[in-house]
Amino acid sequence: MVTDGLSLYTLLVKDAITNTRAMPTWEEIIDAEVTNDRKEFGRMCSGITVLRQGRALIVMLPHEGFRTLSSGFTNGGFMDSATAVLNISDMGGKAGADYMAEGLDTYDTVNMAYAQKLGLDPSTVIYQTTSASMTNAVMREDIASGGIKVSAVMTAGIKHNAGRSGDPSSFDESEGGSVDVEGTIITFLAIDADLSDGAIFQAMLVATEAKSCVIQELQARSLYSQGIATGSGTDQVVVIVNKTAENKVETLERSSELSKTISECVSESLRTALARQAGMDVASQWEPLEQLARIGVTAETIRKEALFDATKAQLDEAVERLRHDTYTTTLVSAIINIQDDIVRGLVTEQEGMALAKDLCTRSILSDTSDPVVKLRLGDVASIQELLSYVSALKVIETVDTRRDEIGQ
Amino acid sequence: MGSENIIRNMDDVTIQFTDNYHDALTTLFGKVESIKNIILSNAETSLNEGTITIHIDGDSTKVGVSELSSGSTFVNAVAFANLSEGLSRSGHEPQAGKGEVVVIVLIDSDMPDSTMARAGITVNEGITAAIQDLGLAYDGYLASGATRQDIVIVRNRAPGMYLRGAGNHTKLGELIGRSTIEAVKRSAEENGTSIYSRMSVVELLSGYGYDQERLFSMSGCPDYSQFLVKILDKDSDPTVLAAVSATLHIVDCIRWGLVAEDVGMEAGIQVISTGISEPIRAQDLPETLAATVARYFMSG
Repeated sequence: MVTDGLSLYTLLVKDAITNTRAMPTWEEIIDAEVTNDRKEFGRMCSGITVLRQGRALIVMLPHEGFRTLSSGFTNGGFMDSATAVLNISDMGGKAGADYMAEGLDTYDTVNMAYAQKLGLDPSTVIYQTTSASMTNAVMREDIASGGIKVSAVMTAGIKHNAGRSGDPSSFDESEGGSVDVEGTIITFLAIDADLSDGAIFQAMLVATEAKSCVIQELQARSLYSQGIATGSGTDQVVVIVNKTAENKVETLERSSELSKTISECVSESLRTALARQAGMDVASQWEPLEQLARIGVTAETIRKEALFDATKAQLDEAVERLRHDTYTTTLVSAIINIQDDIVRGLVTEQEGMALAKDLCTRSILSDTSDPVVKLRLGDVASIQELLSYVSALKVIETVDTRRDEIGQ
Repeated sequence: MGSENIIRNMDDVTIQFTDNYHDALTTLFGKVESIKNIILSNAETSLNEGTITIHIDGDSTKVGVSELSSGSTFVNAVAFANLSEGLSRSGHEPQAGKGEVVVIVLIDSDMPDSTMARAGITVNEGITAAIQDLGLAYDGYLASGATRQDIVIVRNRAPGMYLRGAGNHTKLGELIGRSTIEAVKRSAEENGTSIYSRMSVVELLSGYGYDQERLFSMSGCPDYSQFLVKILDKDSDPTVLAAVSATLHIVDCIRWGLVAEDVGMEAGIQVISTGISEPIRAQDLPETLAATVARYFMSG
């Protein structure tokens, strides 16, 4: 674009105006929000009603006999006689980012201000927040064989934030700063029994393990390492127990029916919640690029591997075909498993690479007789390089197959 | 680290706190304030005047410790992990046996109760990650924990640092996750389960219901001792090991509904034929793999 002097001046002035214009603060946004839309969302065990209002999902505790344990920042820890548990969608925009950047004290203040706006007593409310929409919240109830009812309400979106325990962190709180990332799993777990505090904590961990298993079963990748994720760094759980219930649980055995019911309730809720919020399900996960991304192979790295002698339309069609090629995806995933085995020391790099190359040439590609292909396959130094190059060859091969099919 | 000592005695491991600033959040007793000692031993689990005794079904000399720090953040994980039996996967019947994982995480910072709870979540994910790293399975399920699992999070209320974040994004969360994984693996290795003990085709297959005896029965070999000699020779072949592991991964993906059984079978057949030998097709992929491996043991 050619910009003359006057136009450039105009742009600079506009830019300056944009940057200096006072943006609405979080207080102004909360004040302006219309929140007179309270309606019932569903019922949990123990007579708990779940409401939707504004950006929040409100778990209303019907009497003072509930005890809760929350891992969340605002009003977290153990609490007796809470009146409600809130899951609030972020307000988004600059105001949302600004208050997150101000740290956790401001975060607490914003949450309490919003509870007040909803007509709740902020001091007796337990808070969680997420970038997920409450429209995508999932609720479920199960009954353990001993008759104890278990309910879960969940929101989940970890596509942009999944991580594996022990992954490199983003910031050191002791040096200041905060993190504002999209994607978290919020679990509200209600158990219609009187659990001891130790059992409440164990229930939180049983729910956590169920979550990690669902993530593994979706082969969802960590965004911070090359491993399969175990959760996200911002996941939170609130366990709600009914101290007035007849059933008492002093010790929650992990092999008990109640633990199994908690696992099932959380697993099934999470699968639905991930699909609703992020379109994350077995079909969307079982695509070559989705799996390849875990080891750093992307459309960009593949594009750089070879000369694609095809039109954009032909390439798009080939990529679309490969997206649905579950056989190739399965082999790609098996080869990534070899990479995992190399990393964890189960097999040597030399033997693992050799098997991976053999699998690519025998089972993924139809023809590797081209001397350049042979030369390059002989030269790859890692499974990442191998799969990036083989993916490019597979795209070319798919274009050629299509050309043959239509007689071009 | 701070004002605690980890003492390895003949019959126990004792974590001794030399001031009154330490509180614990536990799966055993909930929150315990001003703890004096945490003891891992064969004695019964109890809480008595600030001393938490945690029963372990094993040798306390096999406790693993991992101490990590970054800047002024210090984390120490003390774990006892017997993963040779009693494994479990969330929502499924556990394996028989007395498998157990006990993890105590000492954090040299003050923090609210909610952060101790979130630390517990990070620890639990760390235990699952350690078990995943070892590729442990039983009855065809990948394990995610042990039948018995107890976690203790300890904070230090002494004047100093106050942290609120214990998720993976924070340095504290990273240290909790890493130290848990390390301590669990160290103790598991002391108890006989490590990546080295996993370098066995029979070991990998036994997690899917094909133990040594069953493979022998499938091998067509008339003599068990002869079969064992053959296994000795081929059980840890790295290419076969990688191929078996990759095929079992496909078995998992079929079970999880990621891939249709017929498609997974064909992909598995390719892995088997490339990495082991010509497959002996059976009714499903695990049986095909086991039959091929049993015959492979007898070849040559």
